[in-house]
Formats: sequence, structure tokens, C-alpha cells
Amino acid sequence: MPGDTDINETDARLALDRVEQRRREVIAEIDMPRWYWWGVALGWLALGAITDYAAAWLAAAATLVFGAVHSAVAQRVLSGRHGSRRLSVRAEVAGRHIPALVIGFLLAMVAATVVLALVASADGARHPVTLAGATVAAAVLAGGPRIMAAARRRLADPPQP
Amino acid sequence: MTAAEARFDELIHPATRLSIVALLASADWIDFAFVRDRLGLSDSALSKQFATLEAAGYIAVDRPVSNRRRRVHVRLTAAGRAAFDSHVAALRAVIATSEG
Repeated sequence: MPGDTDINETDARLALDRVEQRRREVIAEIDMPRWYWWGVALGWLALGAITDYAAAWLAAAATLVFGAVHSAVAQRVLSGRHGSRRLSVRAEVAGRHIPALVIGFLLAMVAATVVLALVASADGARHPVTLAGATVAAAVLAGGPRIMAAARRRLADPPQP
Repeated sequence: MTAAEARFDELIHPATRLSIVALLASADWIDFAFVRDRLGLSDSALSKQFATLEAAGYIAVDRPVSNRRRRVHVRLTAAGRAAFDSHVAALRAVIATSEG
């Protein structure tokens, strides 16, 4: 019982601060593996090129393969709990929002690809989807890690109700 | 989830062990080296702390082999988690009592 201890309020606060600091150190390890963002970016780039240079059926097949591979890989990495080989973050600490955040980001990138390709096509570009794919691939590489950093900050300092 | 009963734990409370258990409480498992690096302890000093916590039934040590390398993974047991939650509740109770 608390009354049975000789610790005072200051000691208790110091101990709780220590606990909080360690929780944040584990949260800092929440991430997606670097190879995931590179894989998505390269896949995006390849899909854009295939759409421009190959037959329509091949582009459709490649899109299906990309979706299937991503789906298989995402089941393991999307939670962000296994970004480090040094630990596995507890599910209740990582929360349930990271997969939705990443999927939302990727859907926004799909929309951006379509818009960019249409704009490039209207502007007379010879390879509009390749151009759009390359642009979005760069955005994935730059934006993915930033999305995860924002998620970590939010987990470490959740907004007060 | 129900609130843990406040119970001060003398075994957990010392700063080093509290840090170890607090790290483990946020993870399913943690590699030995991660804990060592975070706490700035030597292998032997950390092993001693782990032995104390393991003897109390608060942690379990696993030795999986990945990529032909032997690793040491440490995790909190159900008893360790319950003790940690109760200890944190006791610390909060101390603060609440002095504020109240």
C-alpha cells in the first residue's frame, strides 16, 4: 500500500518521470522498415513505366501483383511495431491508428498519381504515368518517414481532452 | 481494462530496475543490447539485474536464434506486468495523497 512506503511525493514524481521517459524511448522505436518505403516507391515507379510502355493487360497484371505483394507484406509491418529488430512494441502502446494513417497516405498518393498523370497528359507529356509515378515515388520516400515521425510524436504526447 | 491495485514494490522501485521494467512494460520483448545501451550498463551489471527480476518471476529471458546469431530477448511476465502496474498505481497514490 502507498501508506506503507517511506517515499515522498518528490520521489514518486521522479519515479513516474523515469517510467514516462522509458515509455517514450520505446515509442521512439515505432517505425516502418526503410525497405518498405523503398519497395513501395520502386513499385510505384515500375507501375508507371509499365503503364506507359507495355500493353494494358501487363499493366493490369502488374498492378494486381503489386497489390498482392503489398498486402502480404503490410500485414507484418503496417502496425509500426516491428520497425526495429531490437524490440517489439506492445500493441496497446503503438495504438491502432498507424495502419489507417499509412493506408490513407498511400491512397492519397494514388489520387496524386492519377491527377498528375492527367495533368501531364493534357500538357502533352509523352510518358505521363511514368512522370507521375516518379514524382509520387519521391513523395513516398520523403513523406513516409515523416508520417511515422508525426505518429510517434502524437503517441508520445497525446492531445489532452 | 481495470485499474491496478496500488501496491508499492520494493524490488521494482530502485532506479535501474524501475527503468528496466518500464522499458519492458511498453514492449512485447526487448533485445538485451537495447536495454544495456539505454541504461548505459555493462553486460554483467545488467545480467545481475535481470537475474534478480527473473528470480522474482517478473521477467522471462528467451534466446532465439535469428540469422545464425544467438540473441537474448527479455520480456515481462504476467506477474511482472501486474507488479509494475500496481507499483505505478502506488506512486500515483502517493502524489494524490500529498495533493489531496
